[in-house]
Amino acid sequence: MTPLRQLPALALFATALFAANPAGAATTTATAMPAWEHLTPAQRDLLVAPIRERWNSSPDERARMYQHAQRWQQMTPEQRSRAHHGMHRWEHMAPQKREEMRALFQKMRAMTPEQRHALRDQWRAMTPEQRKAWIDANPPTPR
Amino acid sequence: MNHSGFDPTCFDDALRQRHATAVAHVSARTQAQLRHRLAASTTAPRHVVRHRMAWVATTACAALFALVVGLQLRPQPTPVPSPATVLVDDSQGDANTAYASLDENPDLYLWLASSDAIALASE
Repeated sequence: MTPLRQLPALALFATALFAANPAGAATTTATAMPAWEHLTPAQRDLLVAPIRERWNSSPDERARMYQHAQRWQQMTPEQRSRAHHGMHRWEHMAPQKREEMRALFQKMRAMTPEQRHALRDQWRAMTPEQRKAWIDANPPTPR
Repeated sequence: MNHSGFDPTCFDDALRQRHATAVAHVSARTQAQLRHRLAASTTAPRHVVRHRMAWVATTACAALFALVVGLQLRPQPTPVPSPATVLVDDSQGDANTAYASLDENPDLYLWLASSDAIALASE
């Protein structure tokens, strides 16, 4: 009888474990690493090491990289969030699709909304060969 | 202390005799009712015990079920990564993101999130 009487208490203990554990795990993850301001210099160096390596190994690209970093900083938080979403889409595109999108972006950014709409309709009606011909005729400028 | 010649033993005997006489005059129907009530009073505890056993068994089953469900749904304990591990893993992800964010024009990424670009990319 005594073990049976202990079961309700064990059940309550199990329920408490189940209820408390996810929160505990989340807390552990959230507190695993501090904000940038609280990182040690060694930790910051470790995090920026890839950028440093890229910067040092690509002298010709430094100006462009710096310009892009400045542009990121100029964006509003909302724009930055959308740009990150676009970057995620970019990462999942095939090289050919990237080339098309880069050419279309550069062409469309100088257009009026009506012209953009017209190009979109035109693009939709094109065959793959016609699209390739359009890309050849409107090559994207270097990044 | 017996001031009036009162004998308690004789008093008790007289009372017992009167009780026996009274019992002998109780009707058969009343005696049957009394026997029934006596039987009922002696069997009641068994019902109570049976109810208690059933309650304990039900509670035990429910508790066991709750315990099993609780233990099954409990997330498996995962080792908490050391700060060094987190830094290495995050730096790989950050490196890829950093390369991508600096390689291309951020406005291209912004445009890719627009309805124009989404429609064109899906063609």
